[in-house]
Amino acid sequence: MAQNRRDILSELETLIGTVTGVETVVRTYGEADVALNIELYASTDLPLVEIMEPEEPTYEEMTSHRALMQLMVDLKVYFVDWNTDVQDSYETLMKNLRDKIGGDFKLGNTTIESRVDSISPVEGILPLRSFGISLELRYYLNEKST
Amino acid sequence: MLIKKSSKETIIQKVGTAISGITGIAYYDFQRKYDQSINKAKCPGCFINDVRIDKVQMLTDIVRNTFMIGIVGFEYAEENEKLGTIMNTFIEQIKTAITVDRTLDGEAYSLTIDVIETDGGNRHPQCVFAIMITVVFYSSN
Repeated sequence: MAQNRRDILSELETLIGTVTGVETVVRTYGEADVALNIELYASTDLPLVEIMEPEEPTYEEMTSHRALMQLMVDLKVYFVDWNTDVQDSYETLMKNLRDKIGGDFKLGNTTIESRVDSISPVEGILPLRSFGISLELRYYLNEKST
Repeated sequence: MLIKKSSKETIIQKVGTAISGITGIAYYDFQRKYDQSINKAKCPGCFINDVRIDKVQMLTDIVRNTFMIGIVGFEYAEENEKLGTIMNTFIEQIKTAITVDRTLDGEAYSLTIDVIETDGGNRHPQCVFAIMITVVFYSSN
């Protein structure tokens, strides 16, 4: 089954948009720390999930087959919480995202494997907080230009 | 602890409310300079003045403010009283009053005392001092 990054990232964006509590999904291109100007969004736009355009290394060259590719996708999740202790809202949002992505192992059949690699602790200052989620998505390279 | 959005005016009023609860305080006012209107009847007293505010845009509707407030206090001592001791007591009362609740009823994120300057308490019978505090709070704009 031929697959390509365009469909994968589009499917990921759609999937994250269905996560309970997520208001906005944005795809960004460029350096991670400067690609998104979060100050241009209102608090009603948050929680906001930023999908950073990933690198795409070859995971394995398969003789006589297509290459097995890997997308290393970093998500950054922004949310607003006026409590000084944000553990509850962080856990709820993080688990909703983790479970939604983890519950669709083939990401709508656009990948052969889709899993959460790591989740960072919450950071930021009151009331704007953020955390990161790293994903590993693997797929067979499409011979078509994408 | 739940922090909420506030305003510069609310913050400075809250500081005034905290200081007004000091036992024996005779007078306090806002946005004033030390002038000739100060007399014995207004001692101990103080002016609560806003000095400077720095803003950082976090979201379009959330701004983080770093607000510096200057408290100018004055006290009076009788012939047989030690002015320095009376001044120090009043400074301690102000410090205690404004740091009991550093969130100012949930209006502020933090309140810190940066510096206290005095005239030494050796200009009998009146003394003057300044307390600079920094309040961090959030606002809509």
